[in-house]
Amino acid sequence: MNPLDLRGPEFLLFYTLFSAAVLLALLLSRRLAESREGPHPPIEDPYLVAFLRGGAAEALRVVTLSLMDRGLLAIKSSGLPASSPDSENRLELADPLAIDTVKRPIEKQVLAAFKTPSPIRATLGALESCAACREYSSTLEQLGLLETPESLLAHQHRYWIALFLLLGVAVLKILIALSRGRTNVFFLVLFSLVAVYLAFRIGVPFRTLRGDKFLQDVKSLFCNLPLRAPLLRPGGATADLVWLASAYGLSAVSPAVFPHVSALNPVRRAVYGDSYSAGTSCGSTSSCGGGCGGGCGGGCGGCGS
Amino acid sequence: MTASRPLPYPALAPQVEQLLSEFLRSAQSSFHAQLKSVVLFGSAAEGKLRPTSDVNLMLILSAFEQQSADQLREPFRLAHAAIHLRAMFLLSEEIPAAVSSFAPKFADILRRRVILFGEDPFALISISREDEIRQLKQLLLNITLRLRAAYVVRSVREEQLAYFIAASIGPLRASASALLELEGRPAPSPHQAFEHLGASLSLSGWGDFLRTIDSIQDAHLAQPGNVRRLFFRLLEFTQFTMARVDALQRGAR
Repeated sequence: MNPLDLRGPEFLLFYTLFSAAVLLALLLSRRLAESREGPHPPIEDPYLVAFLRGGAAEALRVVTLSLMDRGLLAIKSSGLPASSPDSENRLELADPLAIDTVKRPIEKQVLAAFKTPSPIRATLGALESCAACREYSSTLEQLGLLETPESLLAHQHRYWIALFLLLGVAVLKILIALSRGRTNVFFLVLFSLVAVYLAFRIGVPFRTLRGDKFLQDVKSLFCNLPLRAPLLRPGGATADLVWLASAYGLSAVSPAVFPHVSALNPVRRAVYGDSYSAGTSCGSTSSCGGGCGGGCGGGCGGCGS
Repeated sequence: MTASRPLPYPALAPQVEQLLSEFLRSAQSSFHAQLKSVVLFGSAAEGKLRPTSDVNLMLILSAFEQQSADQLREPFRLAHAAIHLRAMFLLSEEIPAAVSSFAPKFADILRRRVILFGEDPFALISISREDEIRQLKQLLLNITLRLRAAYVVRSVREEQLAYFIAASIGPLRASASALLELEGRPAPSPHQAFEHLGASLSLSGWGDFLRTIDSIQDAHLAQPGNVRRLFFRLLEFTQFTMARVDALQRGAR
């Protein structure tokens, strides 16, 4: 029996099963291609995690947030009404000594870029190909967490094949339907668009599966941090803010506590799948509470009274 | 009081256990022979951590040197972010002075401690009853003053008041536990001491109060208006507790 001769609902069922099979094959071929094992990367650089989660743009935003929180970058209002195209706020280096004070190269590069007051988005955009960002990209590729250009090309080949199959069958059926005088092809167009979108998500990944797993591990490690987000204090004394933003994104940072986060609003890139949700992967730690116990601050601070 | 025996290693969430053991390894490789003991205390020692709880550690050292401390900075910052680790760095010879100066704090540590590394530094330590009563009163007075100030500053934004309560409740529970012990009626845990003491003070709506506190500690928001009422219950509780400590002090004279 020729499946292209099936009637509307039956063909949609066939197309759903066919798409599932193609997508499954795409996923399996990706898994096979990425079966490389390697050492567990150390969790020590939050900017590396931010880069893995959302690329150079995201890492630069997290760096900038951290530097603003530490008082090394100061925000300068443009003084123009919000409706003006030049109304974007600018950032400026608070003290030239800061460039030598910070340790990580990406921090030095961001500070250097704001030596004179500069618009935030355009300046960070120009930094996306900076040496420190290339270094992060290369490190993540070597660790097998990000796709290399070669592996991405191989993925794209498989994606084009899947696309050809998914669209080919849909287009053929539409042509047959039209030649028989039937024009009710809306659902088939809708189904094929969904299948193409899913194929893109599976077939053209930003991170490797190992990278996804590593990111999940990082989130599990910091799973209580989003719950403590409203309790974090500005000033940069701890690494809490930078780990929160790196692991969960800027949307996890409370603008009430860190108002300057609003100036760094990211342009969402759904393809990275980095959206923050309030739920965390933490298991319940205990059913009853001893509270903070004697070790808690509560205004008594350490041993002091 | 004299030190009770350390508690057995508690059941902890996997990420807490992982970070604690990594931090312990880092402390050993940073301080080498200078690290004498590592003590876990507070709610983590009882295995009763909540999402907003601190994990409290005390590192007993023979010396605190820059090079060693530098090596521990990044592991500590990571653990602070991940599990809210707080660490106290105490030299061996400072233990008697610290115990005497911060008696209620150390009374709580003596009750709830787990030795993660080395020997128990508190095995032979005892706390003067007089010191403990006097400092418990100071501690409660300090909490009272801070509660009042926090109310005026924060209560317009109820969620801010809730965060303050979540952070204050630990020392209050520890104080309740210390008071009951000084009165010769020790409770099994600070949590239970707080519940028993509140019930014995006949504070109205104590059950609802406890449920709201549990909810706040689990990082949930309370019903509008509830937190402010809860806050004054807490203040009332602190003042009643202080009156009981006063009675102990008068009795001791």
